[in-house]
Amino acid sequence: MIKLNLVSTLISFFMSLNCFAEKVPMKKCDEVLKGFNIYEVLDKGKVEQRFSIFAVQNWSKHSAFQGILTKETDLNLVIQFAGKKERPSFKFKSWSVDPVYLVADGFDGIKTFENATGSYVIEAIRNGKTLCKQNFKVEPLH
Amino acid sequence: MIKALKLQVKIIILFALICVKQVMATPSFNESVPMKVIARGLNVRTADGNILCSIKKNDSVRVIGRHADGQRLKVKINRMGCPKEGYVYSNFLKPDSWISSLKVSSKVEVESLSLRSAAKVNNKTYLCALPKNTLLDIIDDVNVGSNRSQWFKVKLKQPLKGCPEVGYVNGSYLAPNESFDGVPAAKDSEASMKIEQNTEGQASCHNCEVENSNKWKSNEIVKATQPTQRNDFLEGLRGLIAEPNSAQEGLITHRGLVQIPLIGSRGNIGPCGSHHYSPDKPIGVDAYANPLMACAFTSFLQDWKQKECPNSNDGCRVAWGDISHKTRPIYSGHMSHTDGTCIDIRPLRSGSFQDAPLTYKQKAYDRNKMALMVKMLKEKGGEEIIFNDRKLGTSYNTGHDNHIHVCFNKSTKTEDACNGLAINPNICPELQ
Repeated sequence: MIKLNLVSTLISFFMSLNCFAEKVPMKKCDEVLKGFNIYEVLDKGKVEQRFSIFAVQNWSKHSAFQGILTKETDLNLVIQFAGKKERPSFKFKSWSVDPVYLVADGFDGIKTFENATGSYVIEAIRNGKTLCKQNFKVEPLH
Repeated sequence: MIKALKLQVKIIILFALICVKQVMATPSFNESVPMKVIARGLNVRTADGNILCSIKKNDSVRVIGRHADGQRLKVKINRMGCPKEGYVYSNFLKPDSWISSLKVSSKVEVESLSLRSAAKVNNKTYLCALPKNTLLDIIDDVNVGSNRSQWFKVKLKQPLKGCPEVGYVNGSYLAPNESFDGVPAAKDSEASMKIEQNTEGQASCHNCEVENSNKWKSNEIVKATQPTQRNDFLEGLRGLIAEPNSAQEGLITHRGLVQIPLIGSRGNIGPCGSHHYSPDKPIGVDAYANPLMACAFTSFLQDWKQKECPNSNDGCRVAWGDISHKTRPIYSGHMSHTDGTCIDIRPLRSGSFQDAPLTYKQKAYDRNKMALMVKMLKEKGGEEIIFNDRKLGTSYNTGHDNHIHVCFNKSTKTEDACNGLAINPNICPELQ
């Protein structure tokens, strides 16, 4: 009887830890999050606005991104820098430039990385679960 | 009978009147035509473009012929220090009022010309772009002093969407609009045109040591080297090289460095179709260059666009980053970007242009084009080239997978590149 109670208690304990839940494979962040830059060109004498979308990489002046996009819904973006406790979180909203994408609301790459050193972790979270998490370097200027 | 005679007389008088009116309305160029100078200082030149003297605003000259280039007129002059005859650009002349039928106007000669709110080149004065052949009336000459710039207050003959009616333009990019078919061609001008075709680029090769070199074989370059097509940016650079720290009109300078011109609200649009990536704020603060470097680099940009990458939508478009900072000689630890001689350039990509990071390890990297770029950078005096794709023979250093670092120090090559440069407004319209 005692043994039975012990087994059921252990099962309950592990159930509470969600150990038997179906494991969701974590995606690569490149599949979920993209960096973007908006820039201008002179085309036939007129200044035109264009944008580029690309994989997030190690941060440097040469690989900087102004913002982050996704096509996934109900996501939160979290960025954490090495040695910092703060984990600023951003929700996504419709991107006025191209409504196919959602843009991390309030995230400004240039400001966010202004004094960053070492490395950073980028994380996409949906309903409290991590969809992707990736570590990148912050490269010093050379 | 009398009625018929009266009718005949009336018809004859009518024809005579029409005849007289036509003769009066068409100025005859068999005799010289008086014109008034509307530029503050207008250079009188020989047929092949050498400056003889300068005549003043409101001086009267008499047109006696036209140059074979279709833009200049041969005029008789009556001014001390000037020869009796010489050539001037026709759009800086205004006919005396009695020739009411002859209206003089100018047209935009380049693909695009900036209309500005003042006679200054900077982001704040930019109003709009006037397309090629836009017709303008010159209202006033607002030359700012030296002969290096010829600015004019102009009025658009036709409204243009997004452009105000009146503004300022650099006169170097205007051509006369009127036809001077009735003016006889001057024989010496035809001879000079033949000479110009044989000695390409000779006319305006400032401080030139490479006259008659093969560098000037392009027709477009030759067009840009016409004597009056002076370029504020280039002349300012040459002034700074000759006399460091001197004040140069139209240039933004600080601590002996010059800011590479950038246009647009984001500071991305660089000279000769180039792209400035990750621009710091305020715009241009990270784009301060040593004047010789700025000159040699501009020479590279112009040649690259002309010879290797004419389409700015292609991945071969030059995207450059930091040069040096306006006020912080060593900024954010960017040690090698202190004296304005070094610049970072992103690797070139195949396909279309992107304002996006790229390393030499990525699929989109275009090694063949990059090899050509390294070769041309070296030709223009580029040294100390660091880039981690060792197949290009460049030096390896940490953090240089995603950009090439190149310096333009004082050398024979950089000086040659600068001396041989003549800005072609068709290739580098951003440097107006």
